[in-house]
Amino acid sequence: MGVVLAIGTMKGAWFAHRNGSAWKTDGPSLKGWQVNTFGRRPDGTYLLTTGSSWYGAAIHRSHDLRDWSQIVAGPAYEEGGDRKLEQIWTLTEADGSLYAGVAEAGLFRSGDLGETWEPVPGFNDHPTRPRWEPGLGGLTAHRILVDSRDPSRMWVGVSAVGVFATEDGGSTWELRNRGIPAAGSPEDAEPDVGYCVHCLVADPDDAETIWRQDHMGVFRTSDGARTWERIEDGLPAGFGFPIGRDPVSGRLFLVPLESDEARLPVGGRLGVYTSDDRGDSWRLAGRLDGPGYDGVLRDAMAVDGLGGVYVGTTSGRIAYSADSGDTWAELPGTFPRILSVHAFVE
Amino acid sequence: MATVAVTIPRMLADLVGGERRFSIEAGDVDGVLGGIVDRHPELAVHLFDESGELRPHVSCFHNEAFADRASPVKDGDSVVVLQAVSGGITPRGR
Repeated sequence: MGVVLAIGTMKGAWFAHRNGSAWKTDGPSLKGWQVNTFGRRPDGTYLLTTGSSWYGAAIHRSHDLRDWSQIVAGPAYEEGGDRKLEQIWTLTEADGSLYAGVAEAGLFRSGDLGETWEPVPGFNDHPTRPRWEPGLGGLTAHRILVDSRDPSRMWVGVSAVGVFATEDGGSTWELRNRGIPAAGSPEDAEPDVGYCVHCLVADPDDAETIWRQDHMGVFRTSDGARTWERIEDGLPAGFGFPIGRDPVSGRLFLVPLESDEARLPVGGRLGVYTSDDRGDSWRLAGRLDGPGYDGVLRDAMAVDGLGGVYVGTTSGRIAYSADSGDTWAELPGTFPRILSVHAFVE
Repeated sequence: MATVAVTIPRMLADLVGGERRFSIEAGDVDGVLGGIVDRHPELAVHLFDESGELRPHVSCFHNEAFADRASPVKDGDSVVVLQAVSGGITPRGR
């Protein structure tokens, strides 16, 4: 089995094929376009999403990661309405359907492999919608988790609103953020919205367990997001963006940054931290060569299911481990600012 | 109906097989823009926003002047869609 690493940047997509410790990189595809994320349809077709400071957001499909064609009837808000579809930040497959999380925050569903999309009104028109406010990265639905045993149960992270959960396939949604401080609110305040979730990852064997990199720290839930507990023992900082889980080792990975004001690697060296005990404690797994002051965005950490862990930085570097975080190396070359990395096994 | 020479930006042409210059038959500039989308439906989301207007950083020129979408066109006219020299990364980043 080979691994291909899809690299989405501000100026296109690259695809790095790994053969042992050797890499062969193809690209750019969609040259000049902001490539936000990747996905794969149930039939194996690859997907990526593009955005732009000038043009609209779109989804593109490819059978070979070389020739890409744009899907015409992508996610879109109602013409003449007051909502703008600015970016498509995440694609997730659930029980044969595809879901897209977008900014301005919303959720869209496709039942035909992504060729046409419809809004998810229970989410997009949630009763709290008039009070949703953006974070620095916009008002963004950026992460969708699905219970593989019961796909009618889903969780969606929205910055800066919070985590939503549905138990009925998306008809109704409730906010679940108890235990998380709301950014910009008093510590003991418990507003229903205003939680700046940065990233989520779930235990594939227990959908009730979800880990959360939040603006306000690192948290875990064991009850499907109904309550959250802080888990930062051993971390040099609680702030950061991505969080991932290697299914081979069960280890968690994240990249702490020094405070929400600075958003710089602690001590001027970018470090990947890991937890061997489901987040109870953390330790340094590896550092990129330094000094370095780049960060890692929320979709720029990936695992391949074979022990591979990949981290792409805002200065275009990619660090990877092929052994669940024991040893680390860097991919040759540098890329434009990296927005996303996804690993596909071929 | 007039036959108008259309040029679109390279980034958009890349989405439609590289076709950057082509002809559209239309009666006015708005019809030319509609003809572009009829020829290449992928471009609708890139040219227009949810209001139905051209996106803020997309410019349209008719015979080398800012285009009025209601302006009539005649044979041999040119309509050029440009990526405005503006925009770039927003302070939002992500």
